[in-house]
Amino acid sequence: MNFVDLRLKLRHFFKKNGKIIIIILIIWSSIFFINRILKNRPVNLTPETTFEMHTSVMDVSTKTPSSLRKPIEDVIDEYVGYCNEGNYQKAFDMLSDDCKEYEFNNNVEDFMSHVISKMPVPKKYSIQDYSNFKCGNKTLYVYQIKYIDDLLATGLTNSQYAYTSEKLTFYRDNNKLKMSAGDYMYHTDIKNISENEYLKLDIIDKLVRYSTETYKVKITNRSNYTVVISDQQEVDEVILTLPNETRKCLEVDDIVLNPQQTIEVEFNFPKFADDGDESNSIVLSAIRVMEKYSGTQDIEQEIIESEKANAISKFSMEVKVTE
Amino acid sequence: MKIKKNNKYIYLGIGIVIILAIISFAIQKKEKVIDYNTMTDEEVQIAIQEKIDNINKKNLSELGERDRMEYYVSTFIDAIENKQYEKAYDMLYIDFKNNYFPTLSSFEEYASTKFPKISSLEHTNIERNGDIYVLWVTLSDPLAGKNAQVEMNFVVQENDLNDFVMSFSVK
Repeated sequence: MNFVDLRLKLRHFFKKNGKIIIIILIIWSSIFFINRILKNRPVNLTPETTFEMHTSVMDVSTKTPSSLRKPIEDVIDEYVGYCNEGNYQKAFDMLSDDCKEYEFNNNVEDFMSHVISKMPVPKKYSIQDYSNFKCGNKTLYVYQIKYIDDLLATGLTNSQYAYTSEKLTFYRDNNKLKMSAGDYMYHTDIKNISENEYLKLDIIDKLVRYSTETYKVKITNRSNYTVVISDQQEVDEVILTLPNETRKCLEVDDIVLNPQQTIEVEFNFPKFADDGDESNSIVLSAIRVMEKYSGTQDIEQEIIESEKANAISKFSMEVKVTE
Repeated sequence: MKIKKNNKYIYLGIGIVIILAIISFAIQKKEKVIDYNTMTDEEVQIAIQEKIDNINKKNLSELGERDRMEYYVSTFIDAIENKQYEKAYDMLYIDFKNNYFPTLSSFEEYASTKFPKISSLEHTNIERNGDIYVLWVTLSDPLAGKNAQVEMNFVVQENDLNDFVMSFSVK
């Protein structure tokens, strides 16, 4: 191939593909210059931190809406300010009605005890969105607040790094921001009943804190015998059933009912409010109707076993806790 | 003169490229040229310090928060090591100063006796509480043996890059 052929071929090639080559050049040049513009744009240097106050720790894809962030910060600042000043009534007044009623029995002294347990002396604080989740038709924004000494002023001189914390929960109600303290999330009335010839179980209500569910249960012994619900002689005497698992009751006292007696007890189960599982029922799995019952304290195991063996009836009862 | 429809798009594309080129050259970063010859000694010092601060800020902006906090603590220790007590004193939080070192001389007296003459720093732990960082640091003098180790806490609050206040556990 001589030079003239090569020239003709090149000319032919450019004539045929000229437009495509120009388009490619335009695209390449555009990318080049856009890249150059982006590289040279003025950058505002700011310290990057992993601290994102309004991004949920439990699910980083959820954030508190921008419209609520400042109000929440302001409310917390005011609340801690009142607590630090010892103005407990004003801090108490900032809480939602249901939190006041169910967490603090509408009693400012109960609230004061709670605050003093968390911050016996004035404290600084820091907050972090911990979890955001739906509860019925409202969204709860759960913030963890850490109460801490003024570390910068002391440099931890003669002290250890320590803090107390609790969950403060926020939700919108008729466009008003409501706050709960003391890990309180919400409360529901249940009114579910289960009964047989010996016993009647009446679930009155449920109080949900961030990491526990507490059920108030009325138990009526309809028989003329002693009925034992729990005396630590059987395993899993009181359990909460979830869709795929069960939870043991925390710290169950002995529950023994005399003939025809009615009592109210509270069952407290470990359960995170934001785990997505709905509790199904409470099961009393080892109820015993006793002909004779001497208790368990200072009683020989042999006698306990003998009385258990002579029980008139042994059964379990389940009562739904869904509304 | 009629322009073919296809050619119209090509001219439009070329036009866009030219505009992008102009913009990219217009916002091109220009190093500020400083003529030190026309400046007084003091002005030169300020200009150089400003340059150093900018480089520091840029370097710090590329560090993670843990590294930045460790850098701030080592800056403080370096200042003490170099007997720049006023510089170190200025890094302390105002309430901390009021509590423990109300005067520069009281701080100087403490720092010159309690901090090792040459410090090697080992950062053993860091915790963050809001915008406050607590660091656990072991200071040791490599020339003075193992007994010269001092375990301390530093508390740092960063306001901006290279803009911070701190305090430490007074022994």
